[in-house]
Amino acid sequence: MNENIKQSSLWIIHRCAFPIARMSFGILLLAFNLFLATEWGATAVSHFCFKGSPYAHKVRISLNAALGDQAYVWDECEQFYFQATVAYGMRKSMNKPFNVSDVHICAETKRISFYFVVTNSSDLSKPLPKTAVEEAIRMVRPRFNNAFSLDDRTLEFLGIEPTLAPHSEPSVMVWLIVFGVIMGLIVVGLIAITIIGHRDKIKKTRASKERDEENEDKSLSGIENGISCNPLDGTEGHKNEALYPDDKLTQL
Amino acid sequence: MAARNENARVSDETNDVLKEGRPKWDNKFQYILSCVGFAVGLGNVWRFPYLCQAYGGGAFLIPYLIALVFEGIPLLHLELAIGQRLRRGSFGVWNSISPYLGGVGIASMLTSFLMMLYYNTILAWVLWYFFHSFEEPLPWKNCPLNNNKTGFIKECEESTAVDYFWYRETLNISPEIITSGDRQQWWLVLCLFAAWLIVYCCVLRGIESLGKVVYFTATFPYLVLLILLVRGLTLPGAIHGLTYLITPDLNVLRQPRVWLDAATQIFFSLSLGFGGLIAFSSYNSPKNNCEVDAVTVAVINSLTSIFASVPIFSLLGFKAMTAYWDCLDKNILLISNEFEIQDGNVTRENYFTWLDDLNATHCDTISALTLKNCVLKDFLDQSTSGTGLAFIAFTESIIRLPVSQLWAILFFIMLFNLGLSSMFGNVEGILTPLLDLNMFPKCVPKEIITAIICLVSFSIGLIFTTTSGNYWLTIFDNYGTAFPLLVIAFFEFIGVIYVYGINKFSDDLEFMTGRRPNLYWHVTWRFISPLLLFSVFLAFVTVQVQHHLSYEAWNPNYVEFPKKEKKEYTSWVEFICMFLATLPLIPIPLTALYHLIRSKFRRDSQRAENPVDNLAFQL
Repeated sequence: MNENIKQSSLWIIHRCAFPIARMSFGILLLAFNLFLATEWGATAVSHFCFKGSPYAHKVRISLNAALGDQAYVWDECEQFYFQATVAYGMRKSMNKPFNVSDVHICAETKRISFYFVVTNSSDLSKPLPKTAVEEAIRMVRPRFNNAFSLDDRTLEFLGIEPTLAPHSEPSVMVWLIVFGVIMGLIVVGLIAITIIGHRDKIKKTRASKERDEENEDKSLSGIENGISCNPLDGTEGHKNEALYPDDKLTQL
Repeated sequence: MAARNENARVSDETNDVLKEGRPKWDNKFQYILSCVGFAVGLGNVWRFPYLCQAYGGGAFLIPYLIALVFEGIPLLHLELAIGQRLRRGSFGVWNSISPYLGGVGIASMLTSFLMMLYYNTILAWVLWYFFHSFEEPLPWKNCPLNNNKTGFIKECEESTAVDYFWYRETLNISPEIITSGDRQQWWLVLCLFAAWLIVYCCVLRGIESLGKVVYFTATFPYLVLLILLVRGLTLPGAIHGLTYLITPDLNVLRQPRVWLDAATQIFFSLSLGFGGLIAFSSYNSPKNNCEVDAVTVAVINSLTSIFASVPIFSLLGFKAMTAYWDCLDKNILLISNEFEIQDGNVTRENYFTWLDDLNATHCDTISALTLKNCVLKDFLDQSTSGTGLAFIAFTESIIRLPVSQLWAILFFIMLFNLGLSSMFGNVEGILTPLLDLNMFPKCVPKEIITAIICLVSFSIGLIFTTTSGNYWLTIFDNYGTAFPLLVIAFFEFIGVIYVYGINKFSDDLEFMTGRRPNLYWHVTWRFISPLLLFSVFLAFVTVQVQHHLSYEAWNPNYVEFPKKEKKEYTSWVEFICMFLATLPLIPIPLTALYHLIRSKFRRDSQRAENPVDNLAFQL
C-alpha cells in the first residue's frame, strides 16, 4: 500500500507539479520580461523626451491669459486631448495610423508647459524628426487652436512660428472713396456759391440801374432854364486841399 | 476853427465810409469769431500743452500771463485799432501812416504768403489722416506684412506701427534733405489740392463767405475738445498725465529760456504781425469798441490753450499708462516662462514683489533675462510737440480706445477746423492789401484774384509734397515766419506810436471807442512792449545762432534707428534758411529808400507847382 501511495505521488509530482512550476516560472519570466520591456520602453522614451532633446517640442499654454475667469483646469483629460490632437495632426500630415500612445509628454510644469515627442507607431524607439512634427502642427494649427479655445499667442509651440494671417487690403479704396465724396461736396458748394453770387450781382446791377434812373429824374427836375441847379449832387466833387490841410501826408 | 475843421473831417470821413462800398461783417459776432479763429490755431493744441509740461507745469503760466499782459494784448489792440481806423489792409495802413513805412505792410504780406505755403500742407496731412480714419481697423494700428508674409516689415518692427504710418506711408520721408529722385507723392498732392479747394471755397467772396463759414470752423473745435475732455478724464492714467502737466516746478522760472519761449508762444499764438487782424478789423464800422475786442480775443485765446491742455494730457497720460502696462506685461511673461510660474500668478500689482524675491534667490537668471526697467515717468516724459504730438502720440492713444474711428474722425476734423480758420486770416492778410492796391484791373473780379493766389500757393506748395517735404516745412516754419514777425511787430509799435503819433492815435481811439486809452495802454505801448519785443528778438537771434543749423532725419539705416539721426544742413540749404529769414524784411528798407529818392525828385519839381491849387475848379 505504502509503495502505491509513494508511486502515485511521484507520478503526480512528475505529471502536474513540474508543469505547474514550469508554467508559473514561465509566467513569472514573461511578467518580468514585460516589466523590463515597459521599463525599458519608458527609459527609451525618456532618452528622447526631455528638456533640450533634439526630438522634443516645448509647448506653453497660458489659460488664464486667454480665458480669464472661464479658464478650465489643465488635468490628465486635457493632456489626453492634446495627445489625441497631435496624433490627428500626424495622421493628416503623414497618412500613417498614429495613435494616442505614440505621443509622449514629459517635463510638465505648473506654468502649464511641457515637452512632447512623437514616436513611430511601429517602433517605440524611433522618435520622429522635428521637421515632420512641425509640418504636421503647422498644417492643423487653426484646428488645434480651436480645439482648446486658444490662439497662436496663448498656445505656443516653441520653434514653430505661426504663419501670420494675411491682412485685408481694402485700404486704398476706402480713403479714395472718402476723398471723392469730400471733393464732390466741395465742387457742388463752389458751383452753388458761384451761381448765387452771379444772381446777386445781376440783381444788384438792376437795382442800382433803377436808382440811377431815379437820381437822373431828380436832377432833371431842377432844370428850368436849361442850367441844372444842383450840379454837385450826383457827382463826387473835389476836395479843396488848400482849405483842409490833409495831415495824413507829411507836414510842411 | 480847429474844432470846426475837426468836425468837418470826421463827418466827411463817415460819408466816405458810407459811399465806399467796402464789404463789412454781417454782425459783430462774425468779426469776433473770425479773429478768435485766426488766433486759435494748431499751436494752441500742440505747442502750448507741450511747453506747459516741459517748463514746470503750472509754473509756466506765470511767464505766459506776464507776456500776455505786457506784449500780447497791447500789440493786438494796436493792430485792431489801426485797421479799424484806417480801413485798409496791412499795406494801405502803413502806407497811410507814412509812405516810408509801407515796407512793413509788404513784409506782412510776404510773411503771410510764406506761412500760407506750408500751413496748408499741414492741413493736407490732417486730411490724409481724416480720410484714413474711416478704415477698419485704423491703418496705423498694425504693421503691414512683408512680401513673403512671414513677418512684419522690418522698418515697422523696429519702430512702431504709428511711426511707420506717419514716416513711411504718409510722408514717405527720405533719409536726408537733399536726395536724388525726389518726386511729388501723388497722394499728398491730392490732399493738398483738396485742402486748397476747401480754402478757396470759403474765402471765395471775401468776408461774406468767410463770415458764414467761421460760425462752424471757429466753434466746432471747442465742442470736440469738450467731448475729448469728458472721454479723456474717464480713462485710466489720465490723472497721472494731468498731475504731470500741472505739477508746478518754480525752479524752472530761473532759466531765461522759459521766458523767451513764453514770449514767443504768446506772440505767435495770437497771430500778430501777419496783417490778417488788420484786414479783419478794416471791415468793421468805424465806431466799434476795439479795446474790448482785443482783450476778449486775447483772453479767449489763452483760455483755449489752457482748456485744450486738459484733454491732450489726459490722453497722453492714458497712452503712457498703457505703454507702462505693456512693458510690465512683457516682463511678466518673460519671468513666467523662465521660472515656469503658473500664468496669472504674477500680476501687474505684485510684479515688483515677485521681482525682488526672484532677484534675491536667482540673481543670475534674472540678469540674463532682458527685463526692461518699467517706470511710468519715462513714458510720460516721451511727450512731443507739433506734428509729432498729433500724428504720432495722439494717434497711438486713439487706437487703444474702443470705437477708435469715431475719436480719430472727431480729432482730425477739429485739427482741420483749427488750421482752416487760421488760413482764412492769412489769405485775407494778402487779399485785402492786394485789392486795396488796385493792382488788378477793375474788370477782374475778386474771385479770380483769389483763385490766382490759391493756385500759385498750391503750385509752390508742391515742394512740401516731395519725400523731403517735411524737412523743408520745418525750415519754413522756423526761419521763414518766426524771425520776420518779431521785426515787423517792432516796427508796428514804432510806426504807430512814434511816427503816427500817440496823441493822434488816442484821438482816433476816442472817436472809435468813446474814451481815450488809459495809463496801462500808454505805458505798454510807449515803453514796455517795444522794449520787451526788442529783448525777445535779441534773445531769439542769440539762441538760434548758437545752436548749429541741424535737423533730425528719419533714417531706417541709421545705427540707432528708431532714434532720429542728427544731420547738419549743407551750405546752400543754410543759405536758403538765411534767405527765408530775411526775404520778408527786405521791403522795409527798400520802400523807405524808394520814397526817399522819389521825394527828392518831387521836391525839385514841386517848386514849379502852385501849392494852393484849387482842384475843385478844374472842370
